[in-house]
Amino acid sequence: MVVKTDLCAFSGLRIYPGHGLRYVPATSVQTTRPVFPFIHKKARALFQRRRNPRVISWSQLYRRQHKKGNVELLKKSRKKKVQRTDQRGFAGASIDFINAQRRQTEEQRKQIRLSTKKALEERKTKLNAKKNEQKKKLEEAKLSGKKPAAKTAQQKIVPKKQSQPKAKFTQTR
Amino acid sequence: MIIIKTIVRATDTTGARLCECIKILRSKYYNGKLTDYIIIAVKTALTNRKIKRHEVYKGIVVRIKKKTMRFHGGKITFEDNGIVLFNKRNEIFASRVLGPVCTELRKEKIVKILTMSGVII
Repeated sequence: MVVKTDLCAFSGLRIYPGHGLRYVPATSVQTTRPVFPFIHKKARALFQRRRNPRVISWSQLYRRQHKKGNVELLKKSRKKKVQRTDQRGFAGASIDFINAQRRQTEEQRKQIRLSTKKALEERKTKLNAKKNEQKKKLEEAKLSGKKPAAKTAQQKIVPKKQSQPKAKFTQTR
Repeated sequence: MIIIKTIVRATDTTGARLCECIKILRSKYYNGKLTDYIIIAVKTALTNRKIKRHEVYKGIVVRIKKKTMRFHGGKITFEDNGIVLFNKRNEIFASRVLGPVCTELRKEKIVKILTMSGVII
């Protein structure tokens, strides 16, 4: 269970429930902060006499300014952000692939680009050849008045698997 | 702690400023606290307003200097003793209430003052 605490308007000390008193000025009312909580009568009296808490040695502002006592405890405890150490893939590319690309030199990259270009061109030529064959067959069939023969398994051209990584990532970087 | 002869401040737009307590509408030796009805005589007032000096009205205590305990064990003090005035027909006189107002009025079901005031404490 968390105990609700208030901070003293003068000294900056913590006020636990059942302690302290709240003072409400009537003449100069601040709508944002109408109430001033004080831990004890001494703090309230000094506040009403308009003393500066930076001058008074036991106030928390003074102690923070002059680095007295356990300053770290006085400050608000903030959680440190934990940086992530584990790496993971991004958009279909695994870590090994990304790391391998990082280690590449410029010459290697050039070679890969050329090889990928070549592979694409070869693929294109093969496809065009296939199309031309089909066209020729159709024309022949039209001329002879016969139906074109059914496709065989040998006619299918299976593109070769590329040994190099995909060209998409190399070109972007 | 309001007794006979204490001077209280009218915190509304009636024109009355300082008033003197004449009577507390409770038992005989009772000290006035928050949300108590009192009878006052107007001591100082602004000119060209409805209320004038030496007139007698009813009022309700809205702020008090004396430390008062709250439900959860805290204490609260105001800077001055403030009241809101009623007219002869026991209605709230002014159209506006100035300054902060205690929440104890809600318990007494005098919600109209709370709606008129800006700050409720």
